[in-house]
Amino acid sequence: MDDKSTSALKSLSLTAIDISTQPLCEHSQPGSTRNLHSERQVNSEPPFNLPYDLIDPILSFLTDRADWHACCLVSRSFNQVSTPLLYRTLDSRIIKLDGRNSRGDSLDSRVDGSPRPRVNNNNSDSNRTDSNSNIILYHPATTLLSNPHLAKHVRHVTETGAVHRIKAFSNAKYSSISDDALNALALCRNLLSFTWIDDTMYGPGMGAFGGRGGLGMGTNDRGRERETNMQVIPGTFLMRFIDLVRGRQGNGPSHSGFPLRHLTLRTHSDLGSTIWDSLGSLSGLTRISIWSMDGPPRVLQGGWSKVLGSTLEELELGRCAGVPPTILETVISHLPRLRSLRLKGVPSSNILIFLTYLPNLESLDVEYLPSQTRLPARDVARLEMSVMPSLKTLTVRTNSRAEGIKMYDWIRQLVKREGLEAFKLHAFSFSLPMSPSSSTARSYSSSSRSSPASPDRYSPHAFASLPSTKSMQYTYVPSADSFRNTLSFRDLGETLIPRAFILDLARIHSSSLKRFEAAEAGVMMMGDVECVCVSFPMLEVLECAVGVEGVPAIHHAIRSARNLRTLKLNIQWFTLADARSLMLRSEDSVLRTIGVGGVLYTGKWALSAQSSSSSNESQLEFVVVSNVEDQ
Amino acid sequence: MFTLLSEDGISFQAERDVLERSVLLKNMLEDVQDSSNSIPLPNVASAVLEKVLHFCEHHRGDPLPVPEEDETRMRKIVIEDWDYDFISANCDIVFEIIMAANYLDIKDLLDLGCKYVASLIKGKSTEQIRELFHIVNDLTPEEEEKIKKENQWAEAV
Repeated sequence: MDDKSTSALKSLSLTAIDISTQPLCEHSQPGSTRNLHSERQVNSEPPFNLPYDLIDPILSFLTDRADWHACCLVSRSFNQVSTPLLYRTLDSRIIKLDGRNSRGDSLDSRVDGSPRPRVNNNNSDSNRTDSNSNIILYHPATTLLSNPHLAKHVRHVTETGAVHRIKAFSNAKYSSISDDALNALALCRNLLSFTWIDDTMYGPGMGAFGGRGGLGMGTNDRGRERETNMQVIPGTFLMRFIDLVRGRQGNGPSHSGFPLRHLTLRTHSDLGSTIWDSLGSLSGLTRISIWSMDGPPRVLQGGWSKVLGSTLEELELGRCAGVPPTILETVISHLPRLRSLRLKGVPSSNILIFLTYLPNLESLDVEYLPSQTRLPARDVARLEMSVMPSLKTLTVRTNSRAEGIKMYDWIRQLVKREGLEAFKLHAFSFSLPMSPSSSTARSYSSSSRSSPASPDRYSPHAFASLPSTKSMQYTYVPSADSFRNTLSFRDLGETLIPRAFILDLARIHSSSLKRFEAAEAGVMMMGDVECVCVSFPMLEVLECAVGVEGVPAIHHAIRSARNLRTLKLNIQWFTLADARSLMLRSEDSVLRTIGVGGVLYTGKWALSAQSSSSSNESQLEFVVVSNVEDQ
Repeated sequence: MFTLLSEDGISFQAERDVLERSVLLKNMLEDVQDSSNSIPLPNVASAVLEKVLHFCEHHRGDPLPVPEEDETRMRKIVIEDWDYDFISANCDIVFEIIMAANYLDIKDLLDLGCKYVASLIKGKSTEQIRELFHIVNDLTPEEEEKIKKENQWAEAV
């Protein structure tokens, strides 16, 4: 998914225009102001008579649950169309009431981060305040069970461990929630994706079933164990769900299973080998994402990869450290259909070997982890004889600075084949060496980053959206003099992205690369920025840390990047006027988004109502607004 | 050059590669080299046809949109600058444009119109949506109450 802050394409989520109150028009053509009335009539009246046939195609373009929720109450026809859309994606949340002021406090992590709901005591059976504990559970199970016809619309479900632990907080109020949720899920015959999030921290050795076989989860009396464990261990819910998917529902009609395609697991604790063994028989999945932060690493070993070989296209493994490379290699070799792969904790040289098994791979997201051991001769030979995939997207994460040059060599090997469209380099614990001349570094800020507590924070978007003060962005601002004379590769140590690397990349990917994002990977000289802009004429997004003062130098460096839409620079001086000047740098400039530090500047042509009495005419103006990037 | 005849009898001329943005017209023109006969479009008014042709002319030569292969993939909700200007300038006849795009089978124009109207809905309350489209609420209070209760899990305030 595109990062909307790095795209100057108009995103509807950003440009919801209320034409009923404000005849706002936008214009993309250059020119500072222009008489609108000579060009077009803008109708400030909203369109009438929305034909019934158009309601569905229109509402299906909405993406926010709140909009469908609102549409359900508009009219009967709107309700008919928006209800199926609303029930495509289900999740739940727990609200903890804070006595007098009714402030909600979410216990679980709601995936989409939408605002907490107003606490509303209008006597819904499923959502009533529990008088003892002031906990409200918002869960769609009750509705689905009483309206089974809705279940056929359900495609995506997120369940959380917290929901199935709620009994411990709320006495008997929600004692049946796990059963209700499972019974509701059993109705959802079109379920495509399931996400399980559990941030429960079990004690040491406590898996989902109370340890790896510790409580003796025998296969004989699984059912009885389940009943007792269900009271305290939410992982049991997952186990029962897996049975459901495999068509082995215990207490219901025989079930042919789901067309489940996507499975996401996010857990703080080990799920335990019983669940993992059970998962290993799930077939037909096209996307798997696993971030299980405790217990032995789970990398589809033990046969699951074979089961998935004919279908799996996207794989994310959040914890591979400690897994012998040969096991991973075997797993990967079973998965030739993979288009997208993200791995954490795999030595870099092994990743090269993995690629030889993945002819269809388009997107790769890996860490640079130099390994101590050399590749065996067999692997070296394999590397030389194999055709590497043609990657479209490459994300490299690194916390190693000392291996800089080797890292760039490695990256070159990853993208030997032409076709790369996006290159992203994340460097998490770089520390810039102080230059010998202290005046060079006027500003040097860094803040330590604690290791992410929640797996969600590993997502690239989570990183990108962190405010600059909290993320590890390094700002390096040499003076203009030093920019001209004193900064050198040596001064900056290995944090510079080598020019030779840029040129090598350009030799193969010159006509394809559209995104170059390396803001955290080290400082780029303006000459290098220029080199990137010249080398990659299709460039639309450029993110980098630069040592420069003054807009003219930026103008100069990016002058050949005609397709540049988004520019992000790690510099500390910048004004709205600077942003404006860069966006309007030429007649055909499409640069509309500039991020500097934590501030995002967006520009657009907009109609401004002239308030002066002399004229009622509206003028087109180029408006630049800035806001804090992450609110 | 081909001639199109609108519902209200106005004729428009356009070249083949412009008209072929419309799957309907593309199929009609498949076996025709050139035509002196005009093609009647009894469902499209001239004011709408003019805009549709304007859109097709701007996008002549663009690759035709491919159908979404995977319905679960989030549909891209971005509008290019020119398209946004085009559709917002014609928002008074946006429904007619969508209907015409549907009839003529011009997927990118159909999507553009729908995305634009969706953008008008986005972020609005139920009452505001009714106002936007002049919709009369035909739900009974009991029905409303039932819907509210059923959908409470999805309530976000």
